Amino acid sequence: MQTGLPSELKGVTRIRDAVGKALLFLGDTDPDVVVLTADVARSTRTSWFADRFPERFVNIGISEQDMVGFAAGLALAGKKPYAAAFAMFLMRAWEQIRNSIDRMNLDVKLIATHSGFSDHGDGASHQSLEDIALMRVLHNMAVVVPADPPQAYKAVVRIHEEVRGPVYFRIGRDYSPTVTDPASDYKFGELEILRDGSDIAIVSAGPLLAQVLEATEALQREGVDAAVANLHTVKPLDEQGLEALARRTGLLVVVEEHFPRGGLFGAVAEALAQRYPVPVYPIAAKSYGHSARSVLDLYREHALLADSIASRILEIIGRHKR
Amino acid sequence: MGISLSEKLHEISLRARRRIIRMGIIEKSVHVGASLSVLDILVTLYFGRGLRRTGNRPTERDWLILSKGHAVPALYAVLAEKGLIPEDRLDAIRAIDGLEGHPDYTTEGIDVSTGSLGQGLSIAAGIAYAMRLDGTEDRHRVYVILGDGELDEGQVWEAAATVAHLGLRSVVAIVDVNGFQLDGPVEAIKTKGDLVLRWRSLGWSVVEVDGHDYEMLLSALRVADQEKRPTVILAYTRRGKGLGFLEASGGQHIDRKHADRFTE
Repeated sequence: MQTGLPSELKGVTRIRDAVGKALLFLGDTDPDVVVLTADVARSTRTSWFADRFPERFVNIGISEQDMVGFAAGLALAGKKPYAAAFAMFLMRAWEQIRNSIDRMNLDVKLIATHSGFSDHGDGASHQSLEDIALMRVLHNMAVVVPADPPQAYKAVVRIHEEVRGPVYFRIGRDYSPTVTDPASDYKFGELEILRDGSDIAIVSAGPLLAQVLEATEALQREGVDAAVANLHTVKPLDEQGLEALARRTGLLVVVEEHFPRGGLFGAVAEALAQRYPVPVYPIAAKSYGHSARSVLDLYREHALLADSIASRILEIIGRHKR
Repeated sequence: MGISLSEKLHEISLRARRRIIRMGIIEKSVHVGASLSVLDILVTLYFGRGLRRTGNRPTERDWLILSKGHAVPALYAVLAEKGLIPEDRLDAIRAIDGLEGHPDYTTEGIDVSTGSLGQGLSIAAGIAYAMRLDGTEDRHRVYVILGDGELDEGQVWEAAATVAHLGLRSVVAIVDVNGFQLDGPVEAIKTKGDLVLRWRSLGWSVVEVDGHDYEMLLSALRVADQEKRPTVILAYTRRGKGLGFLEASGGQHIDRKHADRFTE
């Protein structure tokens, strides 16, 4: 199976579209793939799969708990199910994910779209700021947060080949500038360095990486050389890669579209506390969100835009290094 | 002249009942009442109907999901009769290196891990859909056993609608209607409504039987074999069946006072 960027991904700028295309690819290449959704076929782009492979698609209706169990049954019977819904509403089925999927280590892939603040218009009820924490604590579940459309496509395809077991894909809605090299290989479980630097390491994932990279330019102007790591695989965690960053810079900041407890910050801090303790700071959601016309408005409110990230990092550096 | 099938099932059931009671005396937390109510359903499935378990692919066999997982001692007792679990292993119920307190798929003869109520029917639907994709749904059945208390869980009704909507006729749900849930009589805890109407309104074929009558259970399973729709068997049972003081009280566990009667 090839994982380079296919021509059909040309012009795709929305991360959920890339996942929709990836599922089409899997449908073409693996007859065991079955896709489920909970009355959000169009929103999750699983409607594309439904149109091409109607027999291997089931719309379970507005019942995420049932969808999770249905997926478990398919996996027990030898299929490779993908269950797609908004991240927030998959979380209502956390206990089903835990008891019906994770406990039996079943090969079920969860496609969680509209994560973080990305469903800006719908407001707080639809925005998931806890899902990484909830999925990360599960014993077997892998947690993947692709950075951009090409990486999302490659991650879904490559993980389908490589990983037999439950995986949670945290996918946004629309905002997802491409920050990775579209020609690069996807390496599950391996931290990806997007920018080298020696003064501080910024760890982030998903669409916020675009803001983080922009922030490093402002930092550079202030004489701060910041490394940027794309933690696309939150679990299993690349502890060695994190330790190398800690040894090189002695100071880390974690930027995430999630509450600061239990998400990327939690993962990084837990690992470094044991391997190579250095100060680690979160830059994360400050409270529940609400409706906004653009996700960038919410980023601004939560100090997650490039300029706010840069100023906060300068403060942190001032405390530790100057 | 040989004995009838019913007599044979009755004998198996008597042996299994003794095993359940023994487990309940050895380990007080075992759900004896629910195990005794569901037992004849399991005995009928395993020794009357017969589960076809020989296929190579997971969709080429019958499945059994004990959604009311707390009644697993009854399943262990039946698996012991089948020779899948050694008799002395039953004494290690809920022990650190023994049999799990709720069904675990790593135990020989157990298809699906359950224990958290309300999840079995959804899983059954997924298995049945896989059978449809593999073209085996006419040849095999997915039996899922629920309790009437378990029907409080909303997910059961989500799944009931899914199964009916997709017309998954290989799903056979059997509700062990023993009238009790953990905290008391089912109607005292939460209204269950008219069970026949609830299932039928969604599109299920509904069969009502005495859950301790092998002939009736077998005939209901034959109906399910012929049905073009999914079938639910409402099996009316008695919690603690065969153990007078439990039957009388609707109790769940064997306490010390009662255990003494068995230990002379």
